[in-house]
Amino acid sequence: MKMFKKCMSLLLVCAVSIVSVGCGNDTSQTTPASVTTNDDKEKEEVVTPAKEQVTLTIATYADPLEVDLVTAQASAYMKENPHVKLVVEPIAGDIWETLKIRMVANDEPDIFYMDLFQVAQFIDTNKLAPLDEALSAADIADFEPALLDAFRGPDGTLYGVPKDFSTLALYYNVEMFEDAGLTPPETWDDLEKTAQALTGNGVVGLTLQNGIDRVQPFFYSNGGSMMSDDGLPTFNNPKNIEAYEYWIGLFEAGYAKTPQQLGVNWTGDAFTMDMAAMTIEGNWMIQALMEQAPDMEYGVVPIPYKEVPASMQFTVAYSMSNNTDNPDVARDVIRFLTDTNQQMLIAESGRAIPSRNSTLITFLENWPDYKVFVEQAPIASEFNYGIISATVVDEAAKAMERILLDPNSTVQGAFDAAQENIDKALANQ
Amino acid sequence: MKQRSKQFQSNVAGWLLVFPVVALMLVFIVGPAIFSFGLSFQKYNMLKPQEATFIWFENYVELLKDPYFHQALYNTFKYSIVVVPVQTAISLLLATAANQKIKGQTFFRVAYYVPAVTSAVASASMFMFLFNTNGIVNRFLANFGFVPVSWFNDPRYALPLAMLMAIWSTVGTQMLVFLAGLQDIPGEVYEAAEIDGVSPLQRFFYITVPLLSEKTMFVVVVGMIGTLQMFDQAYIISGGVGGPLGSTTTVVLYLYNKAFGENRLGYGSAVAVVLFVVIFTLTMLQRYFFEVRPKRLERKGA
Repeated sequence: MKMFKKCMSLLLVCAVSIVSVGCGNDTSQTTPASVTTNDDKEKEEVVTPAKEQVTLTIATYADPLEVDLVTAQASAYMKENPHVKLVVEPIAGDIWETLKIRMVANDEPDIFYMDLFQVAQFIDTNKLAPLDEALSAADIADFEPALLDAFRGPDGTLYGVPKDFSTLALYYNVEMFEDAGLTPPETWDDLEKTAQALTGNGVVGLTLQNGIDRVQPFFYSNGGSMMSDDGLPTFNNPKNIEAYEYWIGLFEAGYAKTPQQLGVNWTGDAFTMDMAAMTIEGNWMIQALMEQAPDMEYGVVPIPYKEVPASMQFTVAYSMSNNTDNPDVARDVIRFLTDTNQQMLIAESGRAIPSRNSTLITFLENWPDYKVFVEQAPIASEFNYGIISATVVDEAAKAMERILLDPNSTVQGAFDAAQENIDKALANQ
Repeated sequence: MKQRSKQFQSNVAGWLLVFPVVALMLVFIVGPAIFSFGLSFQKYNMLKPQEATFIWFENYVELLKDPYFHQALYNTFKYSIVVVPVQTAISLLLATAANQKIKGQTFFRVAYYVPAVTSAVASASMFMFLFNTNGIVNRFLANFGFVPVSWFNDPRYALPLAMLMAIWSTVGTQMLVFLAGLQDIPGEVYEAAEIDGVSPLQRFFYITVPLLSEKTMFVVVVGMIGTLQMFDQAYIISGGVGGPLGSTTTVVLYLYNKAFGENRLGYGSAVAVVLFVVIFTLTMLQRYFFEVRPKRLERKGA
């Protein structure tokens, strides 16, 4: 009996500690942004006694680097505007699902990250507020037009101000290339030959994530397209199919493998562990390389092309809820978060490419490795397929997996089937 | 009269005592279930609720025609048909073992139960680590000359691995149920059997198993409901898409992707209603075989 009592008390202690740890996480996630120092309070009383206290929530990805950056930016804003309290709320897991559910409950954050490939459905359903007033003509001129256009509605209204973007390029292992006496590939033929030459001795020439978000540059390089002129997904475009046949040929010949086939989580692991000589990835891999393989010598070149060079871009913007109580303040916060000074912070952090052209020079001075990625911007197609983007990405992934794993499948058949499901999903919106 | 008011008083007291639970159930279980039933007859986009239209059985018709749903249903049944009997048998054996008076009995009981309190995400991550292409299982099998297999990327192995994972993590809970059942069986029955010279194996099959039938019913029904609602393992193994080649697409994963990926809450609700009907029918069938029929046979025999 004594033993039992001891066990129970131990259990209780455990339970209590787990609960308190849980709480601890919660508060540590939200407090950094809402810390107001005594100085601020005094200023508030002296300078703006009339203004009403306003609290706004900014939802971000639950990535520590992003959270730190936004938290610092929010503190800077609060210092300038003591009557505004900004709460940074990182959303773990599927942020889009969370956002949708909270929109249904009219309980969404005032300001949130908006990914290029999600924005169309939110614009279509009138969940975002217009942001044209947040930018002056000079501001607009400072953004790459393609970045802004991606967040415009059908009537040209702006619903998101880009905070940063990423593009894709080819990474290669310099040591392996030097040992083999090879130069980085420029065309599809080069790529196949180089991959072939580097495959062997436990190394595979290429490791590729088999999904639309890596294959798409090949579609466009072959003269294909993911979207028709009237903005509908065209996954089974004959040029896309032709390009994918080249892509899958690399796998069938054994020159390319997916990270899953190599038994790692993502291409970055395969690349840093010397399992593959080349990979196609975004600029985010630079950070991973610095952390996991600081001594590794790698090079970055544009993705090999067939007819025209191509890449693809992933943009994240700030959007404002159509449901916010303080649209004027929220719009001003977005203006602040994307202004030149704050973009400089992004430029210095080296996380992604800042969206303002005026900050790119500083960015490249700090992070010369990103040069190739910045240069890809003008030839990058969008990771965006209209209001059913998520379905397009899923269906493309299923089709590509089928072609890779099922020897009886054909590219034509799988792409046609996926297109049929995409059309069906579109009809059901 | 006095009798009656006393009865009334105790009724009121009873309702007062259960009120918090009943209220919670009405708000969070019964209410949403009814709402979802209503949704299943509508074309209802999560982000455009104002445009919802009543479409009668269109969702159901589309659902029953969709080959992906057929595959999801097939996968789910396959999963359930393997997992339920195997986990019931293993947990019964474990319970019998843990019920013996052997040294370290408590340790074994705890050890078998630990997987049940491990979160599905944690155990799925652990299995993915074990069955990685460069993982321990492949290294071990390599000793016997097997070629490394990419377990989770092979449509032949992904679902069986999910089954293994489910069995591993649920036998503990079911063992506890059986263990409670075993301790309810009076010792005299066994003593009498011993005097009659019954072998241990006969004792198990003719005394333990029949006397545990109520508990078995419970374990099978709960196990079946749990397996037919399988979601988390499939979600983690496939990263949400139900691959490779749709081999881990379960009904609930299908529902999730339709409702939250395509925003089609009405269609998703229709999937939920169909799943409910399936589970309800199967549970009633089991009840018939475990409870109603034996009793009827008993009466006939008497």
